[in-house]
Amino acid sequence: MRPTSAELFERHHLAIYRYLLKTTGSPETAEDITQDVFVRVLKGLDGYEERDQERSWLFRIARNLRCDRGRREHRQPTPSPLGDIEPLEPARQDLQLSLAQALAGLEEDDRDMFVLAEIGGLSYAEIGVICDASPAAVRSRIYRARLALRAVLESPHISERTFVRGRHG
Amino acid sequence: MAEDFEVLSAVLDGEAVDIERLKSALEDPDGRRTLVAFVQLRQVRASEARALPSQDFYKRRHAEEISSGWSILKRRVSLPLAAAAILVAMLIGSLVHVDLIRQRGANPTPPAPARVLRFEPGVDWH
Repeated sequence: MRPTSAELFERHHLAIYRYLLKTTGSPETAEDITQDVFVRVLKGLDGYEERDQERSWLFRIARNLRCDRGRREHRQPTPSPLGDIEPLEPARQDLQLSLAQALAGLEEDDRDMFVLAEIGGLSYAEIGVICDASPAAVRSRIYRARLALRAVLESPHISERTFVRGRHG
Repeated sequence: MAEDFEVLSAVLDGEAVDIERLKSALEDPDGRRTLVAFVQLRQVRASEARALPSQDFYKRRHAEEISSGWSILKRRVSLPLAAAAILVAMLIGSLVHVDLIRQRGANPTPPAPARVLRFEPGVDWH
């Protein structure tokens, strides 16, 4: 049975919002695009056929809308460690900001695929459908993204401040 | 060797991997360090992944549902209902028609008069 728009919203809006937040760096933009995704869904449920690929379908709409908006506004993602409601200790904030900067500096496809896997929890096959790539290409790009982000973790500035503070409480 | 470490990234994402490659990557000290770094990265990112949209987002969503959703849903629901109602009306109409024809066919003579009214010219003409 075909899900209603409300059911799809309940199941997926948080994952889509978080994906958009990570890839745009703006809570307002992420909220706007998430709204647009579900307005599209409401208007276009007739196009919904493949129930098993529900997530891919929604994330694909989200990605396309984000790309359209990015092209219109010529905007690059803003590096900011978004999403934490709880206040963090300064060293952790530094680390998150550095990771966000590194993430924003990745190639768009690498960043998208990494966020879809890491935050969205999507499989490589699903990510391949969303980004028009083979699972093998998805695997390579996510690995490349992880290596770039790992470099941030291992940078002397970050490791020193984060882990020394961590050790001494 | 880099390809062998790709297997670590894939296994972390729950993908099916070649076990021999995984073994080989884990036997390498650099591979183990890479895995630890990837897990650490996941932990940091996981702590960031709790963002929630604002209350305003949910209010807008509700308004959006009312304004555009209902009209679309109504339109979708009313079409099949209207078609069904027309079909039912046609069916009832045809059944009534058939019944009337059958009644006429069963009793072709007109009913006997219960009262006779006579008209007399010049008397009842007012």
